[in-house]
Amino acid sequence: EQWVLVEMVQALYEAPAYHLILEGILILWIIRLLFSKTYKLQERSDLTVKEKEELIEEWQPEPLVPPVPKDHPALNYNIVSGPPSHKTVVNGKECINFASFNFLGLLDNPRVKAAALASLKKYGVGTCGPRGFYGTFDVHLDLEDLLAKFMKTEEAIIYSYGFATIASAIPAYSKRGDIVFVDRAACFAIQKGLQASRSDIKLFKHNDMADLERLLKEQEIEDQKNPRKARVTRRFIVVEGLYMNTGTICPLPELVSNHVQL
Amino acid sequence: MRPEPGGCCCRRTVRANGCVANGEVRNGYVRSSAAAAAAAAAGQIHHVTQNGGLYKRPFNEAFEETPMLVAVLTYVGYGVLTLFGYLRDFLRYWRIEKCHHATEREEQKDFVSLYQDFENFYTRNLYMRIRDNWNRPICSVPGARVDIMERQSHDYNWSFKYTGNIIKGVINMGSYNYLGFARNTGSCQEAAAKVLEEYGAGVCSTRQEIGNLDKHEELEELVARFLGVEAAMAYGMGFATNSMNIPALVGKGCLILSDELNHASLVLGARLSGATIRIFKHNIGTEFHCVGQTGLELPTSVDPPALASQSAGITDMQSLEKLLKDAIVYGQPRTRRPWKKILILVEGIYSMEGSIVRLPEVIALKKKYKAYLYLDEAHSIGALGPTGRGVVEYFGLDPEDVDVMMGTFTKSFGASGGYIGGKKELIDYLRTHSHSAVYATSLSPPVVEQIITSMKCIMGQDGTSLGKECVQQLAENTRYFRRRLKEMGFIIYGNEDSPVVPLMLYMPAKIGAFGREMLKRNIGVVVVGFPATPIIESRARFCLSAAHTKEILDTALKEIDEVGDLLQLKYSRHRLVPLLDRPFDETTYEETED
Repeated sequence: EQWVLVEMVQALYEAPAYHLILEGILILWIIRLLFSKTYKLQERSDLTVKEKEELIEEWQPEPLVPPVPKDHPALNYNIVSGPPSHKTVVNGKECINFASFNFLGLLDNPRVKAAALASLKKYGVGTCGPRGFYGTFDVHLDLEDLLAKFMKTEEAIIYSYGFATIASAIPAYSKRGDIVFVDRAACFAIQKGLQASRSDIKLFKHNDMADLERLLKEQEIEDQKNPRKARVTRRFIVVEGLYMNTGTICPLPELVSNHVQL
Repeated sequence: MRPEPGGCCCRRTVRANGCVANGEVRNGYVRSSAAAAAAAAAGQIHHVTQNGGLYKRPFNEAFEETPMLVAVLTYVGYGVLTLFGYLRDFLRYWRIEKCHHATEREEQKDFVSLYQDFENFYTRNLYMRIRDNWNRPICSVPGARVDIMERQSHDYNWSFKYTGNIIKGVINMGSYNYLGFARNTGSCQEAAAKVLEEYGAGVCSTRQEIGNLDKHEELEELVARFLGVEAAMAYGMGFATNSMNIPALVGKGCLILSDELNHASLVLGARLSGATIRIFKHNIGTEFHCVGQTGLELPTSVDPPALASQSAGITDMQSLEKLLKDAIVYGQPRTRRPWKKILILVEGIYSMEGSIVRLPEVIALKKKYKAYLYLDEAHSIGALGPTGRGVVEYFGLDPEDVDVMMGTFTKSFGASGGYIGGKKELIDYLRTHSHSAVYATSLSPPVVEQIITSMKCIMGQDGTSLGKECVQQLAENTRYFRRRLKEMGFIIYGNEDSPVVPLMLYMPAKIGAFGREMLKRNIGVVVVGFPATPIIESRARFCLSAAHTKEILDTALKEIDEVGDLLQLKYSRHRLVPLLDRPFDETTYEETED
């Protein structure tokens, strides 16, 4: 079939009136829309320059830090003079030290001090650079090998600040969208690591394996509802060996059997 | 003003390439007869800058534009590498090629994999090929010369074996050793050894419990005096200083204005605080020359079209001002409530660009809009300023104008750790509320002693002028090295006074080639690529040190020249006329007598 112009014009004459009127209105409406001004979705109230300057003048920020009362318990630190070993001098008084984390007493060990002194004479105090840029010393590599052997793992890595270790390790593996099951009594460093990782956090009661099981089963039900999402979410369990906040030990054997099962 | 004949030993020469109101200009060198510190000399030079007198000295910063051909070739290079990467991944998947990267254990094969394949594409296929340029292990003190352990790889950098040889005496242009305090002999090391014997190597407790030694109090008092602030507080790690104290200062309902190129610690601290973050652009492309140039740089060397295209965009200070105005006028995004406080985060020297923050303008803006300023002087403390007090002294400003002065002890003091200085109320608040004071161990005693000794040395309180000499030597090394590199024709980013010198490489293959060629010639350099820098702007970064003598610098420059010719790295289109290479001595002035 060929569209011949004459036949088309004939069809136009033969069409019913309402049809032509409707099409005419539609064409006029399209032309109007094409030529009208675009609308902005958000109408910003246009302030004059003078009003803006007044607003800037009037705005008063809060003070950078709120004032700290003079009798705040944490304001004045105890001053320890001399080495922080088993007997220390705190604020001028001689005390027996039950406060520092010197579990094996190696702070005073003469062999440790001698090795540190030898290394000081060879390398100086600072490393003057991160690990990537000439800040890796042979002693770092030796320590990592020793740690791996000591902990019976394949490899180890060391950090220069204890707090930063777990706070950096968690966001390295767990990203947004992953799920982490954490004990309620986890220490502050773990909390900061979790906050930096932006993952979903599920807390279970302290040292309560039954509660953890319940959470894991709930997660399994969720997974079955949405298997595509489950295939890309990683799951982690974070526990401490010896909890800093409560002093208890985590039940590791039950935990390991739990995690292999699920 | 007439020069003093014979010259006094503390004469400071200041090089100026602008108009001068009170001094004499001969060959671009202004003599000042002021015997005191350079603050007096700087005050005698009045420059008509574009900002009506905020700057007391010339601010010369340049970021030359990438040549078009080089940019195209760089993209082509990355394209080729990506294709090869896909090919290798394909071969590895079908077991045609051996798979070296870490895989899960057998029992965990059906777990969700720890790393998605695509995330690590860059690491597997591009980074691994040139991995031998990073993490080079050393076995001596990281001074001007260092000993590097030789390592070999038989499977294309997937694993390394140590041959047992040590490459001795490599010139170290990578360590952050600005004032040369990385030493294993001398007064700092002896003092640290004594304290190690007495106090032991660690503290085993936090500041608020029983970890606050008398040494820490002494250190904090000294730091406060050094910076010229009311009080200061020291922390165990520089990175952690930022990431743990910014959340203590700002929270939800506050606004953080952070520079585009801020360090990861500032970004992490800002994220952890929960405040709203807005980014303003970095100093890009505004070449700041004062009115009236003298004969050092020929007028034709400055290419007007290139400059015009760079400064056509909005500058960083304009971007910051716009953000501040909009923030105060329109308030928080949906509720329109006013912001509780506004904190501006900037750094003194940006380590990847070598640029210095425009501090006078930032302080003027901060005063006008009542915002707070957080200055991170990780690289600039000790390295800038006539007596090494940092970027505030470099611009001749008042330390009280900066609300929070933060810095690290790792770079110029040869130790580790960070500090924050400011008003007493601020430090009192941080002593009670900082995460680090409550949960993290305090600085170790020998490190504290190293910082105390080196800081006293810089301040001149140990009776010698070693500190002052080191600061001056660093400044001279910086000017000399940068000038010579620019004369050779390399593209060098950053400010003329910053001891961090980035040399642009651009192409991915040249990153690996430059690092390896320099090591063959016994010079250790740092090369940086994506993701620390934008993908086409890879660079080699030299960190100058007061421990580098002129001979060391000349050797290094000769080798860089050779490698530059070999790899065709001399992209610059603004060639400087080489100056007569004479040392700065008395004879230079005698011929320029009135």
